[in-house]
Amino acid sequence: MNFKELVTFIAQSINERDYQSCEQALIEGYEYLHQEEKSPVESVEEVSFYRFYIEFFTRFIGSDNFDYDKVMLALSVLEYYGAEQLREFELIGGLEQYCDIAFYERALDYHPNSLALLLGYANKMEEIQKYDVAIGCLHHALSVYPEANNLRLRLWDLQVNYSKQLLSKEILEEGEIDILVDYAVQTQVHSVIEDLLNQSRFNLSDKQVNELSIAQYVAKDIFDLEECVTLWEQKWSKTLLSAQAGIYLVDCFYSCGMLVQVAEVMEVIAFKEVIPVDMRELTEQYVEDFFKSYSCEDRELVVNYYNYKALYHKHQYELDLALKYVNVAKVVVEEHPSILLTEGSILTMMRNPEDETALGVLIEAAYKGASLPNYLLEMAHYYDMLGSYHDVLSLVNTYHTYSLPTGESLYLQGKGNFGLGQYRQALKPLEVAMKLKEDSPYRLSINFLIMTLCRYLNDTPKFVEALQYRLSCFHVSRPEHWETRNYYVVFLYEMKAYEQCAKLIVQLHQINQLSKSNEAILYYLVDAEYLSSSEMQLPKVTEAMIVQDPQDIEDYRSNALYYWIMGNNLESAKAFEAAADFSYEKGFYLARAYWRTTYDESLYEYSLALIERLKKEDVTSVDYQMLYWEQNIYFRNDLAQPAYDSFKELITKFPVTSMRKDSSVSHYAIRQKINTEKLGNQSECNRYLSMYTSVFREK
Amino acid sequence: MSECIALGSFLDNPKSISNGLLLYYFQDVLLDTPFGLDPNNEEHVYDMRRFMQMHQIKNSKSFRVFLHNLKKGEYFHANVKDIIEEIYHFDEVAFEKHLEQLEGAYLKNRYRLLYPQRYAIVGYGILGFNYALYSLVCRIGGVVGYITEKEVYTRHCELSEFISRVFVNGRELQENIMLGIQFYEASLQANPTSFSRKGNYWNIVRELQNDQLNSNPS
Repeated sequence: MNFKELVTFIAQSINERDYQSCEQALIEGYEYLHQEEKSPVESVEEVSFYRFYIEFFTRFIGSDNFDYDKVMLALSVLEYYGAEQLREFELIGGLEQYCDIAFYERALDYHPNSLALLLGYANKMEEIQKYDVAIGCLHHALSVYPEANNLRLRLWDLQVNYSKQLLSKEILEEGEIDILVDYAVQTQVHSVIEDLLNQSRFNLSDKQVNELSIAQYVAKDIFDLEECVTLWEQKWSKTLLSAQAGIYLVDCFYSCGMLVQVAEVMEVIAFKEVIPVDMRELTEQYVEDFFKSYSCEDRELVVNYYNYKALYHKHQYELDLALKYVNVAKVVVEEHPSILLTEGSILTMMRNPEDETALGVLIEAAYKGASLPNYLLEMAHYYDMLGSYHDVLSLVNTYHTYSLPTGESLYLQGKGNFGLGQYRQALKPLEVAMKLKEDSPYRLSINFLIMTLCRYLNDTPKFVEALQYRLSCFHVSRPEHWETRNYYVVFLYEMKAYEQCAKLIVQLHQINQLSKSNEAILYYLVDAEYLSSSEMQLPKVTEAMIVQDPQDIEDYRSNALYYWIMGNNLESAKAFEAAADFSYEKGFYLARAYWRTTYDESLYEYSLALIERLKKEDVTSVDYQMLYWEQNIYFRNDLAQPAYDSFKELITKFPVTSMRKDSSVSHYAIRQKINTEKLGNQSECNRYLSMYTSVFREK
Repeated sequence: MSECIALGSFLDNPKSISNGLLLYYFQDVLLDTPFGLDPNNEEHVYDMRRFMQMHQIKNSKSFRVFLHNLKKGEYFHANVKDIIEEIYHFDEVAFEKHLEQLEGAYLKNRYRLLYPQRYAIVGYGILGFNYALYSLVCRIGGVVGYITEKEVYTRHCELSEFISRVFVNGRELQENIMLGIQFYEASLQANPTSFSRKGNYWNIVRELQNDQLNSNPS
């Protein structure tokens, strides 16, 4: 085997992960190259041999054949031939226990953005307690690899150690105090902040005191929002704040939904002057100085700042403005995944199904490294906007395999099922969401969805439960509390949940908070004996109570109810019909009007007009009883043809209800026999007669 | 090396290895108890069941199988090890080329996450994350009676031995757990220092560190 074949063999065995034979071949090759008498070897092969040599032995340092000097010798051979050595420096830089500082300085000069080298250098600097250089080094590494979150732990460690080192110094320069305050704010270490605030020798400015006290405050276990707001208004808002301290506060306020304060804090955040960093200027002698003076703002804080700006405007529904801030952020830091996610969510909120940029932006965010759970939720929101609920459900299911359910994900799951018409399934996740996670901002949306679902399912008790939750969201001391309760009285009345309505209305009546128009409902409930008249002791309903010049639905409704109680069917029906014009619940009011007229045989034409209108405007609220009465009215007034058609319609629409008993079948048959007789259709008449007798006989 | 995080604190109280993960996944946890969650708290039981569902643990048997495999270094760790083997020898150009052949944004993200760290973790992958998850699943299994208090204790004694074999200091271990979470969520998003705790493992770790510093000032 000549040398060329040997190199090919090594490459192959590394590729096949056959490390044992690889090691053997490397040792043999090394010995061969250092023999005195050997046939000449081509430089290309020698270079690639030494590359493999470094690659192998830097990985398997536990091997008996590992020798650091030999590895360095291999590196110098590469240098001699002038070959690329980036990767080799990186590999050797991983051997922290062997390398010295000079090696790292040389290596960083070649390859300033290598994570392995930066880490190795930072560790070396930590060992000799040059914490400032190490911190600069890690800051730089984080600006190149923002995703390397594990570095933040190391950085925190270094910052704590450095601030302790500085604190123990007798005399501090001004620049050092600034750095000390910065690090104390970032690390939030209690003892350091205390020392800084309590010792007079530091001469801190107001701004620095504020920043320190913010850091101290947000690090506390118990967080009191009201206290925080007062502190902000009286103390912290008086000076500018650094990005870190400002973001702490914004975070606090945002998570509590205090958007006004968020905007205020944003105003006072001031960024450090950013010193442009050009790694190309880095040369061996200056490596230490370079990292010592490294003072770029943490990129993530800048991103966070713009992200919050955009989110703030998103919540105010100023979507164009929000997009503007996203674009500014994109100029400052290009293509950051969280910025892209925010942009996607804003575009989704714009609700433009034909515009596909939102989808494009979200997919882009995925490729730029947005975390999978966040991406899945945003996509689910997007498909929810499009109305394709199957996709929403499958996305949420995938989300639940990566993360525990949150209010948001459960809301989307419920919404998806709701959109597909699976009401029972939809209710399950929503109810869970209501029980869990107190602080979910989706609670009100969830609550609303539950109310809608219960209406569709005709589940009045659950509906009322949801309603009560909604009522509890308004604080008793606020005026809207009573307004909302009055509003829900009407709501329950229109739901025909009279018993629940009665409970609520009594409470309101007892503390004199019942609105004028709702009094009519109270009178009605007493009249219909949902409430006992002896307990309530209301005055009798008289003409005086009628609103003379009715303007809106409330006036018409109360008039209708008063007329009803007084027994004036025609006026009552007219008022109900007028109320229907104003209401979203047309079917409910038209039905009330219709039932008034059926009491009075002389109003049959009006009655028929009303049922006609009901069928036209809200066919879903037409029930069996109404149709039966339509037929009845025709029959009583000798209108044979419409009576015949109407009964047929009733049978086809409600076959189960109308045919469930023999007596109703015989009733149907005898009615249709009379109708056909009147129309002169003898054969049909006979058919109905035989139908009638057959039922009769079986009895 | 580091005066802030000593491995000793993990070895004295091995179940504290999963404290960070407990805080990350659950609310109002009881860090000092063996199970970490309250069996009488409905929310805790619900969350815990959902967590088991996430990892397809349906009963006591699959619970034990899952634990066994985690300890052996299956699942996530095995996945990371394969990827590292695959990309260890690539230089940047070759890596970019390799990345182009992969399909799916999230597979690519995982490769991109591991690439700059490949030299640092080639020895132990994300074994630390595996161990932390082992400890977490082992502890919360007690909530529904898959495991007794005593067994939790003995399993953790054994675990601390495994940990001390692989990791030199506590920082390395904690960094490894952080990397594991990021790998699991296929995320390249940075976690800056901020207040909101939800979904931000780094904040939780920082708070734990701060607590530790405050309790024994050196």
